[in-house]
Amino acid sequence: MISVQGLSKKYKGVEVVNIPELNIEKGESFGLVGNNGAGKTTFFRMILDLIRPSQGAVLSKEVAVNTTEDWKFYTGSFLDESFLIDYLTPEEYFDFLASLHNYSKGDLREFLSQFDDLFNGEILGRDKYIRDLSKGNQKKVGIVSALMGDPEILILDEPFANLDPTTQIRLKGLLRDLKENKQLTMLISSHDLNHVTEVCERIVVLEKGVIQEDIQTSESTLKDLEEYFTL
Amino acid sequence: MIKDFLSHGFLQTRRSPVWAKSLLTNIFLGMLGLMMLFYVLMLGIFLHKVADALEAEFYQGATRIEIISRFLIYYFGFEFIIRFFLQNTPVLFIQPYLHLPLKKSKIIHFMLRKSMVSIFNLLALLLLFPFGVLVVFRDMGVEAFLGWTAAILGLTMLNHFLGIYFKKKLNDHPNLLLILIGVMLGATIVEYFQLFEFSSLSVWVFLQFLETPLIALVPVVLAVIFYQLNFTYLKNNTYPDEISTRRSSKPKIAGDFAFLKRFGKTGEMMALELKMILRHKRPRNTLVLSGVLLLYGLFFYTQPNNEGMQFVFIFAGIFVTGAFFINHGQFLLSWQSGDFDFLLTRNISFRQYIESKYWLFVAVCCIAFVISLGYAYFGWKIVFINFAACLFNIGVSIPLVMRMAMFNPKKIDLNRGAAFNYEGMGTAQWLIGIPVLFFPYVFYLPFTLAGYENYGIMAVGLVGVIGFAFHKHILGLLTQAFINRRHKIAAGFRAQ
Repeated sequence: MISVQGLSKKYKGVEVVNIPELNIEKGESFGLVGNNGAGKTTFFRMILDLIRPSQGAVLSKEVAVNTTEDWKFYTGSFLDESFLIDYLTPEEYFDFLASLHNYSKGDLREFLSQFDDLFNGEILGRDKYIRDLSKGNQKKVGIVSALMGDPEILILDEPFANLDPTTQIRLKGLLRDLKENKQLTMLISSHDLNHVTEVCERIVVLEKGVIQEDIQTSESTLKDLEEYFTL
Repeated sequence: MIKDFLSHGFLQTRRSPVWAKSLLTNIFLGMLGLMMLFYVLMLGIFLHKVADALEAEFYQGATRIEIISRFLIYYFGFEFIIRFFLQNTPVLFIQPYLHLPLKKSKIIHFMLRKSMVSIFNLLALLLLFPFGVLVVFRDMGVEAFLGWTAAILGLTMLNHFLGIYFKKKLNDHPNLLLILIGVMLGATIVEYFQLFEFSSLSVWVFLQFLETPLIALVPVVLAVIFYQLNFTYLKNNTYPDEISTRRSSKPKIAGDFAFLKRFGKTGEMMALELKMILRHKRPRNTLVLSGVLLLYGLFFYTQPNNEGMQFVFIFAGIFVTGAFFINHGQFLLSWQSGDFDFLLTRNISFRQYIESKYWLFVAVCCIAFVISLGYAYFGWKIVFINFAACLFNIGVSIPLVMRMAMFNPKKIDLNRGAAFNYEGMGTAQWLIGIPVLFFPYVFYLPFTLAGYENYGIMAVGLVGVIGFAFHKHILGLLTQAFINRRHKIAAGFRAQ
């Protein structure tokens, strides 16, 4: 589904990402872990064509993402608040996205109703602009908007950070459900080894832009990872 | 889609945190803008009268069209420069749309077309279109009129897209600016020594436009070409990290002011303030402006009959030595609005914070006075007056400005640009200049009116010295005022 070839990004001579080869299959749930500055977000940005790679390319369905924009139509993503239009209310933002995905009013209502639990009554009908929401609530808006339009690929950066425990658990359930029922390809980065091993079946450890480990999740994965990160 | 973009653009302005807070400022600026446009239109309507007057005075025998055409090359050149400094394309507007299922080309086309709705594009039209109707159409017929109109519109749009393109290119090749300055200097020299007259070129070109209106399509075509160039450039450069790193392309770490550490925490705070000033565009601009205002005195001192203007010199002295604390001090706390909570929670005593501000202003005031010693060229009396004004600033005006600035300060986002940025402006900032500039006259005028002007100047200085003698006490009062208001101020800064 996504394949990376000779990808490298340098800032002022310092290589922050260097991934010679990586393939992510359709329906795979792919977890990216690493310490701060490991290059996780930079890598995701290159997948979304938000950063121009210094070398190499990211292919989505065999097409380089910087040559066409087709990938936009089957990829949902949320990396940070700059993905939101923060001077709109959540409703207005969802309305706008609905128009991009040709949802009718009814479609949108039905779509949003799936997330009533996740929103916990704090998002819709509160008459607040997105910029006035708390970080956690902004994240909820971002994640839900990434799911709009039945994407085939979902890319989330630190989806669990800033969320309250209840929402974390709900989000995990939601992601597992999507994986099983919709064959969604997921790319998730996280600092939280617990969450990521629970959700993802494949974990890649990134350090200083280089892949250190590439493992299929099993019983012992969490322990292995904890060992890896214990210094 | 376009409708959505438009409504987002509108909502962005309408809901921007600055908008509602400075509604009054916006209305004022809007009125000012309308007034300017009205003046330009009036000038346009009476442009033929201007041409007539110029004919009688300088260019006997030339037609109105020739006379106006002489100046058009300068006009469009000037317009280009104004655009260069004031006009900006909101590239960051596109960021939240990049990952959405939308074609980049659509967003960029929209952005470029929207940029055409700009006050700058109205200027030439308001100024020159009436002339086209009243003179060109009447004297040379409908075809010439069409040529004239097409040329004006074409040149305006060319200027518009060339300006945007130039600014974008400037980010990649900063040397372009030097080339531009070089070209302008060269042109000025060539013109000055009458090697070549650009005005004649201008006349010739515009006459071509009028005689063969089809030629007037050349600027229109050029404008379209530059639109396309802009489009291609933007399409290939929509990467947010590149856009944003370019915005702050100079990560220069300017000075650490180690020498200030000698003065303890107060010194450290001053160093911090200086770093804040030098590393952000807007406060840096106020500093530069204060430097430029040092020359303000020339405006008064060089007047041929400045005898009658003596009493304005106090005013000039206050301004020359005090420009920095007036400009910078009016936003006293607003400069820290981004890290105000930091300030409140760390072990910095409020007294030291206030003191650091005070001493910084005093230091700059003294430096400005030393530089202004150059005005001795216009007579020692000016130095005497500036000295008195400087003392008055130190003793009275600085604490006064600091106190006034604590009245309901507004948030300032340091990372935003400086031009036409009225963030942080509140009632206090509008009014702050009045007492600063006129208070000294309370002490000066009585003596002067009685015929003892020198005593008046001395009185101003003396009041300053008395104020300074009590500065410990005054700083205590200022600190107390700050402490009393700090929660309210912090809440104001936190609220968007």
